[in-house]
Amino acid sequence: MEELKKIFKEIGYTEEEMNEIINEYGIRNFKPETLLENVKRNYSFFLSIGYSREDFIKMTKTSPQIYCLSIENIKQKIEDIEKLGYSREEVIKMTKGFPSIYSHSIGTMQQKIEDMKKLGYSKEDIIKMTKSLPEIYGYGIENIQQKIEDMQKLGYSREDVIKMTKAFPSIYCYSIDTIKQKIENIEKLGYSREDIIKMTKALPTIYGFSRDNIKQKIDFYDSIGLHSLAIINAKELMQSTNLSYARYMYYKDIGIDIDETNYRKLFIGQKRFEQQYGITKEELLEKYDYQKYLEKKNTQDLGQEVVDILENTEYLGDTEETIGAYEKDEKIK
Amino acid sequence: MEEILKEIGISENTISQMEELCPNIKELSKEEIEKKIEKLKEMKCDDIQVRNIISSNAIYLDRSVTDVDKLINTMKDLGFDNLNILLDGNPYILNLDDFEIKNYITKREEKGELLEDIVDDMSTNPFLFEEI
Repeated sequence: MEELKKIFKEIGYTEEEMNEIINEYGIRNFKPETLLENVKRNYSFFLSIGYSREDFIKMTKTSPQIYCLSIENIKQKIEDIEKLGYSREEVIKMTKGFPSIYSHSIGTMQQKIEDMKKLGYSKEDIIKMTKSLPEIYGYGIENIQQKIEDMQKLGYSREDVIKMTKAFPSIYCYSIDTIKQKIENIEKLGYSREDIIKMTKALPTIYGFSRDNIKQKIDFYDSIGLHSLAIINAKELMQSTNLSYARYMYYKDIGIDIDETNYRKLFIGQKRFEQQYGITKEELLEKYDYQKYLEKKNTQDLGQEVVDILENTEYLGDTEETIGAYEKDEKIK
Repeated sequence: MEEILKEIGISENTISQMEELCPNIKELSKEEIEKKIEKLKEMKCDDIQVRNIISSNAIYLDRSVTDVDKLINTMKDLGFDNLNILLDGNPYILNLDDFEIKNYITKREEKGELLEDIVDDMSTNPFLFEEI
């Protein structure tokens, strides 16, 4: 047991993590010498096929059953997954993010692919989606089906949902309440449900953006009169606001006012922009610093708020008058 | 975990949405999250960009530092610059592995495009990373 503790410590586990692994169902029945042998063997093997020590610790903390697998079993599993259509590198990436795949039988994975095909995805789609979200192999097909139906109730067609989740499979991670909340947040920014359906169909990653992130983008485009950009060309929301602001201000300085007729100028390729205007991205971002602009704006807004409070508060107004009268008296004295 | 996310300006509500997307983040230590914030700052991300990237892509927090380093170095070698601007626009780039970007670019090069043009195209249209 002492040697086992020593090797766990050498690999990099804390004592607490080690105890959790040792007491895991399926592992606790191992004799200490058998577990020691498995730990040494599997650690060396995983490192030899491309995982880092950091990856291995993280994977075995999530899925300690990895210590129950024989080398032959792991090799076979990797080969089987490759046969489904993944490269070796992709298998390694997927299992780093979702190590439980090593506990799934290849039959279960094949079945998931078949079930997803019945929902409307091609095999190619499923391979691509699971590369970025391997957790899909852990979701029940009923859950996926339910999510599609829930999204339909929000106003999407079945085809829309399939298309959106192909591009942004993480939609499957969110509960329907979270999706509804995200819709409400965007509605508060001045868009109708129809607008939101349209923009998220074009750019499903909007559902991934945090409320503050999306608000920052919309607030900026609102401030330059481009509220409708999110509806007519949602994909452009993926340009950093810092760059859009810098370009907008640059155009303004050279006498070009950006509006709905020429907004595409904000999004032209950098190479073309540089050739046309002779200013690099670095120079542009330095000259028109969005963060500094926001800080200044916040200070001004705060100043305005104070003015509003002073004007609208009788008590403070009285106090000001009193102070004024006092200062006058003092001067006379 | 929550404490440090709140410190960078992420609300409680957003944190619970982040946990829905990536339950593993609940297990992350303060140091692990700080390392990820530091990585973003090394790429010159300002405070708002750090908040935007992390709050919109919790999976980044769960990735190994080694993989993130490999990805960033590869992107720089390929000619991507102003990574803070690119990642602020599309935070999900951080979930890719270096080989995935290389493979995507190689495929386009095989069709006759020049590396410089592909990088310019991807930098201008960050949604293209979704094709990877």
